[in-house]
Formats: sequence, C-alpha cells, structure tokens
Amino acid sequence: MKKIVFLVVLLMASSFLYASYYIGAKSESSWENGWSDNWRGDDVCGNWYNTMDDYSGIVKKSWTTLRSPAKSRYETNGDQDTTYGLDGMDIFLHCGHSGLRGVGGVTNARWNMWEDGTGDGTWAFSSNMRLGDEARELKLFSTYGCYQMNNDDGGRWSVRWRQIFRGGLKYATGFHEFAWLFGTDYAKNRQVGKDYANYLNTTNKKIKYAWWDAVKTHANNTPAVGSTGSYASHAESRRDNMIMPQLITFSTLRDNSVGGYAWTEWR
Amino acid sequence: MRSMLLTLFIFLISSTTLFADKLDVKGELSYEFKEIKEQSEKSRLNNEYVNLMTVKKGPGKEVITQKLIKHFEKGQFITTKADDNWQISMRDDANVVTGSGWNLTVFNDGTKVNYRNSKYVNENKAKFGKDKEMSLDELKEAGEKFIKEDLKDFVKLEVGEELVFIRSIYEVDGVQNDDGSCFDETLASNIAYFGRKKDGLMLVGNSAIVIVEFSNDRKPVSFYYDWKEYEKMDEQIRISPKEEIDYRISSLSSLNYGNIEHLEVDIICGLYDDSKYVQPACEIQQKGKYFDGKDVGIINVIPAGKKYYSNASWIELELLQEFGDVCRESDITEEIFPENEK
Repeated sequence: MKKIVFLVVLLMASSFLYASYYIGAKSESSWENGWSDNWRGDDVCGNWYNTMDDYSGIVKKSWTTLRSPAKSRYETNGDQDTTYGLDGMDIFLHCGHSGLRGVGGVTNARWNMWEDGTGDGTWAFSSNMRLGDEARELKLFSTYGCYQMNNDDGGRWSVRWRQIFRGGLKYATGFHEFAWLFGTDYAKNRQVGKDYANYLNTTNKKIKYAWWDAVKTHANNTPAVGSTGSYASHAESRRDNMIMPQLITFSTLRDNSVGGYAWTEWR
Repeated sequence: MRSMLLTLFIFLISSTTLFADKLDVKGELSYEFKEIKEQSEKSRLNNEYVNLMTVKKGPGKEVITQKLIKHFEKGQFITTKADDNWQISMRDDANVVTGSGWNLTVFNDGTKVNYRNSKYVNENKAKFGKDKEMSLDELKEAGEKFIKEDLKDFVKLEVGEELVFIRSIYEVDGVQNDDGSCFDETLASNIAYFGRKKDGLMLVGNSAIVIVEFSNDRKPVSFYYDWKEYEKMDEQIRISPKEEIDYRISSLSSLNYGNIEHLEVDIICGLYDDSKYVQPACEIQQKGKYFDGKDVGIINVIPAGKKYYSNASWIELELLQEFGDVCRESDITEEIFPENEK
C-alpha cells in the first residue's frame, strides 16, 4: 500500500516538475490604412515570445496579430480556440493599446485591435471576457499597454476584473496608468520583453517582481498586478508568492470560490 | 473572561481593516530634476561645445557576478549568502544567482545588474506599512548613501560626474473581499530613481540609471543599475542653437498636435549613450490620446549637435542623416519657422 501511495506522490510530483506551459502573444506592427503607430508594442511581445522558450517546459503556441477575429479570441465566445484563443494558452501577453471605455453605462477595461487611431475601432471588452475556464485554462494574463488596471473610479474589481477572473484566471499584470515605450529605440523596447521572459523563466522571480523589474526602467511607467483568492488575505498570499514554474500548482478559483482580490500598484 | 478578550481582539482587528482607506501616496519628481527639466524646456542646451565620448566595454558578467557575491555575502538586507537553495545559472546574456528569497541577475558585460530580496520585504511588510512613506529628501539621502557606500565599486563616479536624484515611486499592496469589504492598502516599498550628470549635463534616454528600493522599514532591499564608463575624446561637438534643436524635435518626434489630443510634452536635454558614442541630445517624452481614445506614451531621443557620429542603433539620428529636417512648423513648440530660415 505504501509503495502505491509513494508511486502516486512521485507521479504527481513529476507532473509538476515537468509541467509544460503553452504561451501566446498578440501585437500589431501593420495597422489599418497604412497608419503609422509609433508605440512599438510588437518590440516587447516578439522578444518576450522568443525568449520564453529558454525554459524547457514552454510550448510556443501562437504569436499573432490583432486583426480580425482577434477580438473574439479575447472574449468568451471564442477564447477557447486552441490555437489563437487566450484560453488556448497558459500564459498570454498582449502588447498594444488598452484602456477604459464606457459600454452601456459600464466602464469596461478594453484591449484595442488593429484599427488606426482615427475612427471608432474594435476592442475586446472586460464585460465579455471570462478567462481560465476552457481549453488550457489561462493562468497568467499580461498586458503591455495603458490603463487597463486603472482604479480611479473604484471599479477595477467590481466592474472590470471580477468578471475576467471568475473563469479561474490566477494572475494579471498590466498598468494602472501609462505604459511608455521608445518611439524608435528598438533595442530598449526589445529588452523589456526579454527581461520579462528571463525573470519569469530563469530567475524564477515572483510574478509580481518579474513584471515590475522588467518594466521599471522607464521611470514614468505605472505598472500594476492583481490576483484572486478564497478571501482577501489568501489573494494576498497568492499575489506575493506565485512564480511561473509553479503556476499550475496554485488552485483554480472560479465563480463563488473567488472571495477576495489582491493588487499591487507602483505609483 | 478569555472569550470576552478574544471577542474584543477580533473586533479591534476587523474594525481596523473595515475602515482602512486607500493609501494616499504618489511618487513625484525631485526638485533638482524639475530644475533640469525647466532649464531644458527654456533653453535646451547652454553649452557651446561638448566632448565626444565613447562607451567603454564592461569587465564582463562573470567578474561582476563574483565581485557582487563576495561584496554582499555578509549583508543583512542586500545579501548574497550561500545556503542550501543557492544556485547559479549561466546564460549567454546573463548570469542568474538565486538564494533563499533573493535573486541577482548580471547582464552582458556586467554593466547592468538587478538584485532583489523579496523575502525581507514580505516578512517585514506589516511592520511599518501604515507609517508615512519616505519623503523625497529621505529617499535622496538614503539612496545616495547606499550608492556611494555599498555600490561604490560598481556605480563609479569619475571626475566631473555626479548622481542626480530623479524621482520617487511607491509600491503599494492592496486587498479587498469580493463584496468590497476589508479594503486595505499597505506601503510595501519606497523607490528612488537616480540618473547621472557628466560635466554638468544630464545623461538622457535611460542612458544611465540606478534604482534603489527600501522596504517599509526603510532598509535597502533591491537595486538595479545600468551604468557604463565613458572615455572622453579630443573631438568636440558644437551644440546646435535652440531653434535648430526645436526644428529637429518637430521633425523627428513620434507624436504631434496633429495626431494626438491633449498632448503633453516634457523635454530633458543633455547627453545620450547610444551604446557606442555619447553625444548631445534631447529626450522628448510625449503623452496624450489618439482620437479614438487610445492612451499613448512615447519617448524620442533627438540629436542636439551640429555634427554627429553615426550609430545604426540610434534610429532618430539615422532618420536625421537620411532625410534631414523635413517639417516647417514645430508641433512641439508651436513655433512657425520661416521657409527661408533653413
């Protein structure tokens, strides 16, 4: 009997040790109508994506554009797509414009797609997003873009991120105000993506500090992170202790099992 | 009696968290950096000439990793003490050392380093998190002391060089229950940003930076530096007049009043390390909204010398060399340049 228990424990342990993670990233370098967007998010995403697989457990799944049907890949009606959907990944990085936008009287967090900056473009909205409940069950969702974790109106959790996290997402990293990039200095933009990948997969930094340490070189950046727990202090512990290789070992909390939120803002 | 005391204790604890407020802290620019900014916005660069400098190669990540480990092995807050968990991973682009709750990354030629003791921060977070944050003056003093004493062998200040305290930032941790109750925020760390002046001119465009973090009990727990040594050449570069620099700013900046609403521009002029040479330049920080509401923040580094030395990694300089000054109206300064002026 003891041998069987030992074998089961060994099998479970080895499954954690050799856990593989599917990663994805979306950004844009070619915009609608030949529009030149000098905010070079794709420098960050491309280099993060290419550096992440230095960790043997990484399976690079997709690095794609923000063109149609990207919106549906973020929102709950299409996020289960196993090649392009956010729930088709374990870890996902969006590098592009984001922010807040009122929709039907509710201020949503939004992720911009590939349209130019002159019209009324397409956005993925937080009220249509529920991440972590299908396919690979997204665990870590990062955004290099502005304002999506803003809380000036007090609605970050109750109005915006509560809906997203109730699918089981474990961790989010982003910005509560501006995300800065060099207009043309590709090397320094690239370094942000490389550093975030290295800090996640080699240094084994806590996710919180992997994000901060990667983005802090722009003195005006205003990053933020967030996580859930069964109650507030449980969320706090998860926020402070999650590292990428152990993402899979932290319990998945969905719907009413989410009882608290924790965040960090650098302000 | 015991149950009454327990009830009172629970009430006191819960009332503290129930009525806690958003922590009212926000980082700001230092007085000295505001002065540099004001001076730059008024007259760009006052010098007539600057010496061209080249960037020296660092001693290598292996040498610096060993020196740092030795230097901090007996440290209490910044520590590299070896124990059972201690391990080193040597990659092409960086050495990564991890111990119990701390990690050290030394990049490339050893001139860029990141260290963090997250264990100390977490263990001591509750200590003084509700006390007042470190002020600008406190951060400046504590940061300078740490850099000049603990990092003196790594962040070297040559003759004519000085540290410039740039700004404060605060790490604030928060929690709340799903129904919004028990909202609470705690100060986790106080962060000081430093830059560098060479012969009175600020290094711009993230050329030289030191970031020191202090836990909420005011102990140094993390540092980051990107700090190279420079060699002064005999060659001198004449600084362009303000009008000419403005013309280039308009030509080469990513954002302008035509494509952005509520454009805000900050200009800091000085010297730029393009990874090969150090040449006069202005850093242009631009933020605003595209017309569909997209927020955007972009930094450009614009050449400010009459003459310049080409390096393909400085894209604005490449554009200037390839296309010259192409616009007639300054979007940034809102000045109109006469057509025959150039």
